[in-house]
Amino acid sequence: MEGYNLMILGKSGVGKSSLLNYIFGKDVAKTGSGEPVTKQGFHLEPGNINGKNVNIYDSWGLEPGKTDIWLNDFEKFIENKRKESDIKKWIHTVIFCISAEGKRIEPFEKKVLKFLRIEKLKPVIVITKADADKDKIFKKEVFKITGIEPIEVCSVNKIIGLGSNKREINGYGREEIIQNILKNSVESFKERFKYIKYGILSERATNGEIQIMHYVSKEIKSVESFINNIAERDSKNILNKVDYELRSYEIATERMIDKLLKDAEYFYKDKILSSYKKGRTPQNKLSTIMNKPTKEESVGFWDIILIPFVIVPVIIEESWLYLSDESKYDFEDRVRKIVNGHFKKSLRNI
Amino acid sequence: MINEKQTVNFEERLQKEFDKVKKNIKKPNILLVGGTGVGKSSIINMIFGDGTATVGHSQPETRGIKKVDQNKDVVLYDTEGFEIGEDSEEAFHKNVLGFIEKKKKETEENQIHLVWFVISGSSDRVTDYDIKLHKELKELGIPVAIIFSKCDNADEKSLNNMIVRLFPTTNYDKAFESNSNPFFTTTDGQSIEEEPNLSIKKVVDWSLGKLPEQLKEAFISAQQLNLEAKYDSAKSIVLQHTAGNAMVGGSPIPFSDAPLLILSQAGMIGRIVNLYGIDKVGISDFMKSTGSSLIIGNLGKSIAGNLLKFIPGIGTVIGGLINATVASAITYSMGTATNMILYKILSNQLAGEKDTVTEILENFGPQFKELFKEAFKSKI
Repeated sequence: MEGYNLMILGKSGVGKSSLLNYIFGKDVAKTGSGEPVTKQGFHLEPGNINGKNVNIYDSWGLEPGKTDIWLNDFEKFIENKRKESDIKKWIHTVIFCISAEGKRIEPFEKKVLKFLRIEKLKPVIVITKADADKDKIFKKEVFKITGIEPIEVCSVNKIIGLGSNKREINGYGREEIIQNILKNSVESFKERFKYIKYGILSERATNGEIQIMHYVSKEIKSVESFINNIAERDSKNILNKVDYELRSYEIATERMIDKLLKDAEYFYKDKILSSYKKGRTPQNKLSTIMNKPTKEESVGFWDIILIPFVIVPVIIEESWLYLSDESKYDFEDRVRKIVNGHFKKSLRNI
Repeated sequence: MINEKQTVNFEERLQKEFDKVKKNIKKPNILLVGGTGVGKSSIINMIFGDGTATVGHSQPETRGIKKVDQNKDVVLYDTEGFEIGEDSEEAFHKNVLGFIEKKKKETEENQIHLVWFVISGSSDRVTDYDIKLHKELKELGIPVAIIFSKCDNADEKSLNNMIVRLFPTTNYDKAFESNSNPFFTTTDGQSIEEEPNLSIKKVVDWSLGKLPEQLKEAFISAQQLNLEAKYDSAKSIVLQHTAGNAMVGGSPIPFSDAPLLILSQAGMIGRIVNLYGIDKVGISDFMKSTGSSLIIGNLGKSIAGNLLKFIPGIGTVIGGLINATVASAITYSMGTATNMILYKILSNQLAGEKDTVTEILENFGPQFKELFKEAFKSKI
C-alpha cells in the first residue's frame, strides 16, 4: 500500500513499539514485556495515522543468538530497496533506537549503523528510556561514536519502582523527535535524489547515444553518393540536425527529472509531512528546502544545454575544412565521437 | 608486669597472626554473569566496598573471564559481558561454561562455588539466550542467583513477565518479599531506604547460606552489608578459643606465664580483625596509616600494656596463679572487647560517621579497657 514507509530498528526490549505509540499518539504497534514481541523478519505493518497510510517496517529486535539471521534478512531487504527509483517505494525514514540503560553502543549495533551509512540511509537516532541518562553522558557518547546528534526520549508516562519505591514519571521528547524526523526525511530525500538522478542520466546518456547514432546512420544513408562518400554541404546539414537532436533529447530528460522531483515533493508533503499533523510542521521552511534542489540541479542542466551551441558549431567549422571527399565511415566516426564526448561531459557536471 | 618489650612482641605477634589468617583463609570463588551495562560492577562495589570493581584492577584470567583482584577474601570472576553478535555469543558460551567445567576438575578450593547472574530489571526482556544460559548453569550443579538490577526503574508488570520466563512456577508477588532467588536490587540508596526489599543484603545472606562451612568466614569478612554476621561469627570464634583454652590437664598456670597466655590469643584476635575487613580504603581516608595495622597497633598496645592491671585480684600478685576460670575469662573478654570495638568502628565507617570513628580510634585504649572489664566481670 502506498504511503509513508518508516523503518524502526533496535535491540530487543529497547522500546521501539512504545516509541511509535508515543510519536503517533495511538496504539500503532503491539508492545509487551517478557518474551520478545515482534516476530522474525521485516514486516510491513500497514497503519493509518491522521487519515494517511503509514507503512511501518518494524524490525524484529536484535537479540543475542539470532544476530546472523537478522543481519542476513536486513541486508537482503535493504538491497531490494537500494536501486528503487520509485520514490513511493523508498524507505523514507529510518529510526534507530538505543536504550539509555545499557550505557553503551554494542559492536553489533555499530555494524548496523555503518551499513545504513553505506546505503545512504541516514537514521534518526533515538535514545529511549532516557530517564536513565539524567546527566546526558550517554547522549554525548552516542554523538561521538555516530556523528549524529541523538534525541532523548522517554516515551511513556509510567509508574516505575517496586513496593514503596513506586513513583510516576512523565514522558518527554516527542516534539523534538518529530522535528528531527521531518528534517531527516527531507535531507535523506535530497541525498537519494542525487543518486537517483545520476542513474537516470546515465541511462539516458547510453540510450541517447544509441538513438542519435541510429538517426545519424539513417541520414548518412540518405545522402551518400554512389562512391561511398559525403559532400561537404550534406555533412554540414547532418551536423546541424545532430545538434538539434541532442538539444531536444536533453530537454526531454530535464523534463523527466523535473516531473519526478515534483511528484516526489507532492508525495512527501501529502504522505509524510502530514503524518505529523499534531506536531508543529514548519511547512513553509520545508517547501523552500524542497524547491532548492530544482534550482541547483537546473544550473547543471542549463550548462549541458548550452554546450552544443558553443562546441558543435566550432566542430562543424573545423570539420568543414577536412570534409571534402570524406568517406561515410570516417564521417560517421567523427559524429560518434562528438555525440559520445557530449554525453560524457553532461554526466561529469552532476 | 608486662614490660615495653612484651608490648612490642604482642603487636608483632598479632600482625604475624593476622597475616597468617589472610594467607591461609579459604576463599569462595564467585562467578558473575550478565550482559554489558547491567550493573555488575555497582553490585560488586556495594557488597564488597567501593573501588572493588574498577578498571585496572582486573586481569584477564582466560578469554572472556577476568579475575577481580581486590585483596579481599573472595575471588570474583567477572565475565566480559555478552554482547549481541553471533561470534560474541558463541565465544561467550564456550568460554564461560568451559571455564566452569575446567574448574570443576580442580581441587575443592578452586571450584566455582556460586554464580551471580545479573539481569537489568528495567530492560523489560529476558531473552531466549538468558534462559538457555540459566538452565545450563544450574545443570552444572552450582547455586545460581538471579539478580535483577536497577529495580528503582523497573515496573511490576514487566518484572512479572520476566520472572515467569525463568521460573515458571513463581511470580512477582511471591518473589518480591521472599528471601530467596530471584532478587530485586538497586544500588540507589534512597530507593533502598524507601523499600528495604530492594537491598542487596538478601543476596549476601542467600550466598552465605549456600556456601560450605569452611568458606563462610572468608565471605563474611569480604562483604560489608551484613554486620551482624560478622559479629556473630566473631562470637563463635571467641567461643572456640575460650573452650579450647582450657589448660592441659586443667592445672593452673603460673602468673609469670600470663604474658604467654595473652600472646597465644593473637590468633583469635587476628581472625576477628580479618573478619571485620577494615582495610586500607576505608580508614586511610581520615587516618594516615592503613586500617588493619592501625587496629592491630592499637589492640597490641591495649592488650599487652595494661591488661593485667585491671584484672581484679591478679595484677600485683607475684607468684600468683591463674586458674582455668580466669584464663578462659581473659580469653573471652579479649575476644569480646575486640569484637565490640571493631563492630562500632565498622558500622560508623560504613554510615559515614567519620568523627565518631576518629574519636574511637583516638580513645582506643580506654574504650577497649572498659569493654574488657565488663566482659570479664560477667564471666567471673
